[in-house]
Amino acid sequence: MKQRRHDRIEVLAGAIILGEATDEERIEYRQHIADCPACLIAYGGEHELRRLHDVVTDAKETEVWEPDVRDAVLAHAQSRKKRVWRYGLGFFTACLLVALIGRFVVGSGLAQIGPTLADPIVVNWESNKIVFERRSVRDAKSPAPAPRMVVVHNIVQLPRATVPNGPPAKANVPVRTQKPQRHETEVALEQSTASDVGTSSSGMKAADSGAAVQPAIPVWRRGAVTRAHYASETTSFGATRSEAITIAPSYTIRDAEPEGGETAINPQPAQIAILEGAEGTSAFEVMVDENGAPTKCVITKASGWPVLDDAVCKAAMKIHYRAKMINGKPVPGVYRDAFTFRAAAQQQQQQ
Amino acid sequence: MEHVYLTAVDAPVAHVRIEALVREHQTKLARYVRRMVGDADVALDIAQDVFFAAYRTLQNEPDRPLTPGWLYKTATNNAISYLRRKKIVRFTPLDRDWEVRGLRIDERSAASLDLQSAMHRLPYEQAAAIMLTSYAGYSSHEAASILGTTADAVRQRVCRAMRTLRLVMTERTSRP
Repeated sequence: MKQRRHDRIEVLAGAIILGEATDEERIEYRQHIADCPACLIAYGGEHELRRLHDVVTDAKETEVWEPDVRDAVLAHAQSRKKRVWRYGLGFFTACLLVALIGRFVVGSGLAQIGPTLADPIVVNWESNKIVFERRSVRDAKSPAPAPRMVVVHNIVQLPRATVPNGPPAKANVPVRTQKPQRHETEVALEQSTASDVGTSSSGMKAADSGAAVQPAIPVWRRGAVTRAHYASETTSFGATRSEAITIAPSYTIRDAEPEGGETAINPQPAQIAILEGAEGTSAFEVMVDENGAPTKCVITKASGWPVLDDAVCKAAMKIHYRAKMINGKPVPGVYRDAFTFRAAAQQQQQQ
Repeated sequence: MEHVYLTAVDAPVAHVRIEALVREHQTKLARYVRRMVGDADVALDIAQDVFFAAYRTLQNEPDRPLTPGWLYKTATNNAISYLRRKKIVRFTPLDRDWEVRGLRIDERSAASLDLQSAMHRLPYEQAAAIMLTSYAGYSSHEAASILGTTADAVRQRVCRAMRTLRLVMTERTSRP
């Protein structure tokens, strides 16, 4: 409360000094300093306050200093545009010089900024300290060859169901180059009196019983090639009467294969695989829908390096396929293939 | 076409107006700053900076009315920034020549020396208040708008500054 009162007296004194005090404010100030000797000593009466103000006014009137900043300001205003051009030209020249020096230094091989693949910084941990080494291979006479990787497109032998009396499957025949296989269906019928019957127009083999009799039931024929199997069996009446009808429709099956041939799938392993010397064979299956689009890729034999398997599946899912065809109608199918990755340096050493 | 015309006449307008401002206020402003910082050379630099700022403002806004209050406000801020940057140690020097080295010999009256001694002791806010009101002639309300405070605060600062000035004068008269 007392502090607020003194703040009020200071405000009143300031108003009296500046000549802005009203009569009420002057009376209030007089009453206060009459009761407060401390304020009277500190600030004085009204005449003392006005005298202090006159001291400042007198000090101002004694000044005779006549500064002149007009020429400097006007010269600054006129030279502003020239300064902008000068600074801009200087900045451009500095940038040009830096670019030229940088090109000279870097182009001449004087500076190698940071570690590179050919000159890495190796951190070794010893018992009580960390050692930073810079293993330079630039001193070597022959530059180290960049690591490369050889990708071998494997030929996959697909397991097939054995076809009775069919031609033996040739070894090392790729799936994509296989000719369409004929699908065979056997249907056996019984008759009361029957004998083994066999007819063949070309190269027909005899049935298990070996007895060749004329069939009583006509053979269904479809297409140009017909194959009939003869079978004999004993009926419940004791009579040996057997008949076999072989229906061999000539519809063809064409497996799914990539559009563009074998080289359409081009796996590109990540750089880390080449640097780490990843090797292995990665076999995969791609589910192809009736439109020829790949729907799923499954690694059937992992190479041991997930980065290689990922690269193979990524390449396989990237291309378009010709859908599997059965009798001219596209159906979902599976395409199987494999790739072998080997380091180029090791390959050369082996050779 | 109108825009091109206005752009072409902007620079001469700013030039004419800044010339008038400099001619009218350069002396008062430079003396005011000299009292604040206590150095004539620094006062000249600060006054030039104030007019440079005014010229840039007039280039961007040729129609803006630049009042003397704007100039004093900019000068006060620049002077306070200079004092803070230099970190001038405020103490009572035994040699009064140190205090009045920015004043010419013919300006060294008793009142002028007392005022300059008091200015070296005052805080920045009180120095700015007493210089704007008692020295530059602004009222407490105008000084409050320049300093960004209230009129009562300006009056209070003036009262405290005058108390310091009174102490300085008492010391001078009591000195043998």
